[in-house]
Amino acid sequence: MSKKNFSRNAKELIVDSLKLPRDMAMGACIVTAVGNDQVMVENYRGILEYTQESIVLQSKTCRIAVCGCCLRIAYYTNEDMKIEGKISEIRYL
Amino acid sequence: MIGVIRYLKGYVKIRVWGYSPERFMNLCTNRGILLWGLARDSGCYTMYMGLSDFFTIRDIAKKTKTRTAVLERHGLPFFWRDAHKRKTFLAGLLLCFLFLACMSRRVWAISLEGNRLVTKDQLILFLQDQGVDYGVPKKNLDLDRLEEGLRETFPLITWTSVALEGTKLTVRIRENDLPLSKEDTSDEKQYKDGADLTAARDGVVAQIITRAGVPQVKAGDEVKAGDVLIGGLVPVANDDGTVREWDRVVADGDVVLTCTRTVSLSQPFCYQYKNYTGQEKRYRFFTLGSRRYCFPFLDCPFLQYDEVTEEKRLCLFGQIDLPVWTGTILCREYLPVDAVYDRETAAQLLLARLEKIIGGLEEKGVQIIQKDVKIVNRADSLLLQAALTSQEAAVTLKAAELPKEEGTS
Repeated sequence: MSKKNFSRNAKELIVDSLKLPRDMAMGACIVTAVGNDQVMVENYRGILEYTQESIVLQSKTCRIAVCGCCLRIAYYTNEDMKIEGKISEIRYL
Repeated sequence: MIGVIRYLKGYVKIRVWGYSPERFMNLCTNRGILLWGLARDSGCYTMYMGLSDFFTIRDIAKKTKTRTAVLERHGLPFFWRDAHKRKTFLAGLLLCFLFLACMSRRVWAISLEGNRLVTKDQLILFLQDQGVDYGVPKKNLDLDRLEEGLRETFPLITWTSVALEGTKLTVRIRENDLPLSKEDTSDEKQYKDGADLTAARDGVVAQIITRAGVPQVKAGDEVKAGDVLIGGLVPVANDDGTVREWDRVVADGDVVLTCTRTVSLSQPFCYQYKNYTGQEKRYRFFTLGSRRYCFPFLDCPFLQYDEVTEEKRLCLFGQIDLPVWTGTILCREYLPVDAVYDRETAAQLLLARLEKIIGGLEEKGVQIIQKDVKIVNRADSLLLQAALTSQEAAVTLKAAELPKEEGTS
């Protein structure tokens, strides 16, 4: 087991045993989808790609791709963002 | 709320294009610049940002090799900048608010509710006597005193409420719903020493039912106006049959008299009617206070004409009544034409008038049991003579008086 994996597993173990929120402790991204026309994303780092068909976001642990059509960002702050449009797919890359 | 704050601070819609617009957006958010309404539009990005933030993005644009352009400007700072060029408009707006502020401190509408027996004119006159009229300042009104004054001036009013709603003064009143019981008690008060029920007309007694007092007549008796029908003095007899004292009551009972009344009506054959020529002239007017201004200013050119006036009060936004009335006056020219009724038409008119009189009597509780109608021809008119036999409660109360020989004993 590499050193990086070991430290990651140890961190997960502590978070699970202390029941800490994973988004704060691990930097996990929170994706909340409301119907198929609204997605709220929190705890991300930035936008990697933005087209009308897909929005790719970078989080601490992975990339999130929100696909659909007529996508637009209702608001965009350092904390959270709201994506509107006809959403067909949310993928973790 | 956020929208109001944004409007007050001002915001712009910008277009971003170039090497890395995504990085531009990321850097903006990292510096705490709020972006909203982001959209991709044919290779460019459009977004909204605050006016103060817009002045800080120059180095971001340089760093990300993007270019920005302002598409739209919104908010109060831009409105003020534009408004400076329109000073007259601003002055007008200010004057409008001042005018509204001044005018809203006065009474511009008076509403009367709940009056049936007390007429609207009586109430308006009373209010004018108290200094309440259109245009009086609201601060001069003493609503409690007005309520008291209404109750004192009109005994019929049992409850009053005077309220100011905006520029509208609403006077709500309740009238006494039981006037009859009050009358009964007033009879008792008026005739403390007893009262006789007397005949109000000549006639024959058809029916008599006594509730209080001593009946002086019986069914079938002929009476004249003023005759006592039910006496208000009830004798209290001694053991030997002599009257010891008189018990005084207000005589009460149902007495129906059969009366005869004559009606004489005349209908001339000649009459005049209005033959409208079809010529009309319409004037527009507005009334300000007590003065009326007509347009056009010319006098009506017709010799003889009827006037039909339609008037409407101006109301702002459906709520604020203004002391201005507008309307139209329609003048319709006519020529008086002399005509003659034939005998049948004149007779029909006479009979219609008689029916109207009978209808009026029946509304007062007079029952017509027989009518003898005679129509007489005259040279220039038709004369109707009718004898109406009616049954009615034609009685009045009169203070009771002791019989002279009994009173002296």
